[in-house]
Amino acid sequence: MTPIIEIRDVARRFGAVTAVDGVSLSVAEGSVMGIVGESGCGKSTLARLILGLLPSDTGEIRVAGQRLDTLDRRARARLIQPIFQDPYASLNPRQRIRDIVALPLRAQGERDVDERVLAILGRVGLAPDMAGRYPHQLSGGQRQRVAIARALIGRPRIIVCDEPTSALDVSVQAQILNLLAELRRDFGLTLIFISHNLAVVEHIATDVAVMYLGRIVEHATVDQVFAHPLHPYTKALLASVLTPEPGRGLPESGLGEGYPDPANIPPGCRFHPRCPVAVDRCSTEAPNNRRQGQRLAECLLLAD
Amino acid sequence: MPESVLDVTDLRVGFARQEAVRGVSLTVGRGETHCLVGESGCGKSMTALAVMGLLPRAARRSAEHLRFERTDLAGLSNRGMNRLRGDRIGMIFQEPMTSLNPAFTVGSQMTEIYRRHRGGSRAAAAERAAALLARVGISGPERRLGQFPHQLSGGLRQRVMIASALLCNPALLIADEPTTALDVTVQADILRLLQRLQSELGLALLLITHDLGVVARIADRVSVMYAGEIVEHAPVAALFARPSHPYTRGLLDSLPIPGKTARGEPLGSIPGTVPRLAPGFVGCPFRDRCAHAAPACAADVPWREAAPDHLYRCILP
Repeated sequence: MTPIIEIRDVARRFGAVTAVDGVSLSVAEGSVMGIVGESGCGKSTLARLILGLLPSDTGEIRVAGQRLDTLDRRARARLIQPIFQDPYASLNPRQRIRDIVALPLRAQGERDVDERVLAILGRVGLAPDMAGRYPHQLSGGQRQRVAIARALIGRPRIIVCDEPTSALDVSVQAQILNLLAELRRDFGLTLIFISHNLAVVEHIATDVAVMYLGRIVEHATVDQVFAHPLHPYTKALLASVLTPEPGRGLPESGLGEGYPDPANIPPGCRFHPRCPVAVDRCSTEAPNNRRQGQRLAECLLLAD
Repeated sequence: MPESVLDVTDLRVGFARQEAVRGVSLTVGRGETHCLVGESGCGKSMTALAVMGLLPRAARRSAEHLRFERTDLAGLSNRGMNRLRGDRIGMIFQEPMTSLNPAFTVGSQMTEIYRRHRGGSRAAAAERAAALLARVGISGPERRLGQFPHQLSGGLRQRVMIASALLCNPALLIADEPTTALDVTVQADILRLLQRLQSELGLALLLITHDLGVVARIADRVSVMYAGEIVEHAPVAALFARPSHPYTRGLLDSLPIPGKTARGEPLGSIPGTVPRLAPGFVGCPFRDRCAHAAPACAADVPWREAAPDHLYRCILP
């Protein structure tokens, strides 16, 4: 199957900071690509690159077979829509819900949007009387439903979700995750799902890419990553997940305090200062694009 | 039961139109970690602020008992409370960047806290500060004393906050979402540090969090809060093995657990949203969202015993 998103060797710098440093990734249509990593790993920058909100310095992104930088805003918006972490910040506080949700249609020059607005509000679980309200009159969960309705109304093929449930309480997070899973199935959507919460990604994603200091250091199906992580960073991340299981105690990450700094990327393997199993050559030799069998895992210690 | 360091009975915090804390009772013993868990707006942080005497001006506080060691906090003057805070009662908040003053070095902030409570020379205070930084696992503590907060990573800043809270040998440490702003790998390290210090120093730790994963891994006892009241109270193993209040069960069902929760199946979720309860509200605050709600839920709901030390407030047996 041809991928719906094809990212080839994309990099993006902000002054001295290298946010994304040579990322390649293919996303199959209908899949949910979970992108995980800690703060500063470049996952949100990658989201903005895929949305076309930022141009890349080098490399190429293709969406549905077309180069992203050749598409204008309208064409991009028909293909890809975003959902961000904080729905309050991403919804215009002075507009009523019906106008916020209708925006993608009006931007495409369409009129007579009222019926479709009401239909999509119903589809995301919002009552029709919500249409006349303002964002501040809604709860956090309802606002995220509005953001989802706005993303979906133009029937895009891809939705990029950047930490869509991180600002929500767990009971509301579950509602939103269930809704996203249902909509993905019903609309045949492809989701890019960016999160620091590994338990959430394990639940919703079909594939996982693990980012560290601007690179994807491991990429495989969700089952492979969670059952048999290859990269030492992936192992440390998974070990740090605090599942609600008493008696298991607190895990030791095993990582040093060499806190990752995207303005100062270490030579060799970028993870080596914190890596519990690093050897001498890890500080000089970069493991870029190393694979084990079919799986990407950028670690020198893995056999080919 | 360990000797209780903090003893709160029927604590209430009210505002003009809302009662934020509605009759909370809890104790924290020496060497014990008591987790207060709940979702945003449930009153868990307000409970901590009420204990510390740091409520906003508009709030009214009342309690049958509000006792720390042998001191009645309810009857204490502001000056008396100031003497305890940062001394026998240590505090850590979620975002260390907002609790540390960006204009002063780590050393000047730590020595000021110590000298305010304990006096002595600047040099002696600096020595104490360096010793505490070393104790919380910061290498090169003398060098760190000369640094400003923005020069430290989030994890290091939280370690500095913990060291500052421990300067004067507190008996009680109140930590409000101490790891929520941190990355997962750093979170585990900070929680291990808190746990180690607690057992070494015999601290009573009141830890406030929304994260049931944190609760499961660090708590001895747990109180689950909903809409201003505690709805369930149990030793940690019992709470997760036999959650008894429908709200606790709903919370646990809504958490995806890798390897356990069926993928492709919807997660359990709690319909509706948290109510804001006006003063004088009677009955179970969860009844509008509860699948088991009955007319009896509108009256005062009694506590039930799931086990001798495991209480929940619900009409369901």
